[in-house]
Amino acid sequence: MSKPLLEIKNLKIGYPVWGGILRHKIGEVKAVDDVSFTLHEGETLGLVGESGCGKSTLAKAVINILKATVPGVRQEGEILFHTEKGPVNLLELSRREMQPRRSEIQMIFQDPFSSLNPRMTVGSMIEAPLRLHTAQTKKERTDRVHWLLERVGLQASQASRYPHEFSGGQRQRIGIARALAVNPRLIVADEPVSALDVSVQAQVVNLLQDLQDEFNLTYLFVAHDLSVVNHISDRIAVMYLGNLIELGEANTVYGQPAHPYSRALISAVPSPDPRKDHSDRVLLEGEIPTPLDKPTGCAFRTRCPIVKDECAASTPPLEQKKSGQVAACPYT
Amino acid sequence: MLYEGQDLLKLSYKEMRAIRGNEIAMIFQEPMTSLNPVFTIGMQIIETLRTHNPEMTKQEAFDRAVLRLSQVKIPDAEKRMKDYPHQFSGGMRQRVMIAMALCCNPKLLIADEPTTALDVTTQAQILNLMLELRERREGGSIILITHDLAVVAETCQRVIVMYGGKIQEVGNVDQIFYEPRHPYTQGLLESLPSTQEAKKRLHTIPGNVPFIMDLPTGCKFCTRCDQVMDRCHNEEPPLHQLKSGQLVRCHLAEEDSTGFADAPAMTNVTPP
Repeated sequence: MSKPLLEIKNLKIGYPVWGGILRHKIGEVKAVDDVSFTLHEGETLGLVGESGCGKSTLAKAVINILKATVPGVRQEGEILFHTEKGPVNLLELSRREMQPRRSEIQMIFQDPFSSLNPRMTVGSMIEAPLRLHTAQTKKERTDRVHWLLERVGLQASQASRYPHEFSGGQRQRIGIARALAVNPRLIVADEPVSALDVSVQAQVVNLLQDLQDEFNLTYLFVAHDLSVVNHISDRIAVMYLGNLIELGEANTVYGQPAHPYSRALISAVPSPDPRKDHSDRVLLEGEIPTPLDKPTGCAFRTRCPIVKDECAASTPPLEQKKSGQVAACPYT
Repeated sequence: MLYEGQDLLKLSYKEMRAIRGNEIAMIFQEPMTSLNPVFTIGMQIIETLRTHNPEMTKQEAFDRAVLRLSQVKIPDAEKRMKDYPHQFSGGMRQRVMIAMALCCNPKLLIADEPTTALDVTTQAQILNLMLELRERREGGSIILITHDLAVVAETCQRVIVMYGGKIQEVGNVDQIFYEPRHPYTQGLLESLPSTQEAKKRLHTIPGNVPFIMDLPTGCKFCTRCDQVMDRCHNEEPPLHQLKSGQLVRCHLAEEDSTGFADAPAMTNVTPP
């Protein structure tokens, strides 16, 4: 097992809820509720879950943009990033201390249409991180931008074009080139292929895998499309309403899910095989509760097919299962 | 465009209005933007009912609306008639749309990407609901528009594959998934992650879908096809009909062709 790159320890993130006449904080949404896991160098960890599970919040916490974008956010616990000088807790860094770390942790966003500045040329967008984080000359930066464009399957001559001149798949490639510009060690990919057509998804997934091999990248791959996640990930983590409820090797979690929610989630995935039998599909009752109304004890108990009285008492911890993964349910 | 023998394109506004919502209904992809945010959902369903059944009283329409909402498994249906669309979750809004679409017992339901905006477990519930409702409505047909091949495999009996504004292949669901004849269909199926060994390179269709203004002459798919021949660039293939009943717009199907088909209605493709 390779070295740890990122260690998340007892991470809790609360979004404030404003209300009342004077707009003071009247409550909190536990977007991420005591989550711990370790990301190793060179691995791809797929993070899956449905609305309100906290996966996007967790992704934003890893690239440390919550304080700047969510006024009043509460972050507890540790996000340890392993640098040459030892592990550093990103949550404790000041803005200035965080700056050099940003060249090591980059992000690819979900929406290829809103994540590119429509008023900047593609070349200048890819160049921007180079200007910020390196001391390269203009010529060196231009050469690097051209190299990056070609590496992601576009043409150097397209550097002077604007985002609206490209298709969704091409815009996603531009986002990837931008993330790659400063040689990051970790890339957080937040649903990078959800907005793309099937045939284009395949191109971008292949590109991400090639780049990983070539540059020894580590990916935190946040997604809801389980078949893509299973394809690209070494390990899969499943979240529900802020809790990490299952974590293990991708094949194991996908093929033999242990937690009742994971079982429902994976059996709900439609498969492109008309002859496949779906009679054993787990159909859940009801809707996902809003995070504002999170059930006490096990968050899944209001919809769980095997719920017991004890489930309301306390949040079950992650337990080792015989098939190899850990899951937060004592009854499977 | 013939519906029950009538050409819809030739109907007047009033004639089409009588059919729309009543005999042909539609559910849209984004339930938040297709429900009117300033009216309660009760009012929206009742409006549909009373437009097409002017003799219905308000009470009858109310009762029918509550019935439809409970059929799509909205809990506390009567109370929720007074709620606005923003008070429902995505999955619930989609159920409301389905209730609205079905309230006049349409013969044809068009569902445009009905589950794309929904979580996977909600999608499973909605698709299950649509299939249950189809079973109960004898003779009711559904046109499901989607890019999700897995959803097609699970719910559809017949499949039409389109590209570049043209029908490229038609067949029953087994034929399309197990014996696709058009290179585009084949490429789509091969590029799905679940059909591949995990972690190996995915098969791709090179290039991008061309802009609508820039479609190639000849076969619309020729610029990306891995089995392209010279002829394809100049000559658009007709829709060949095969012995199995499949229709394929490809020159490669010529040798098995038993004739040309102008429209899917003229085929012998029967559901399995």
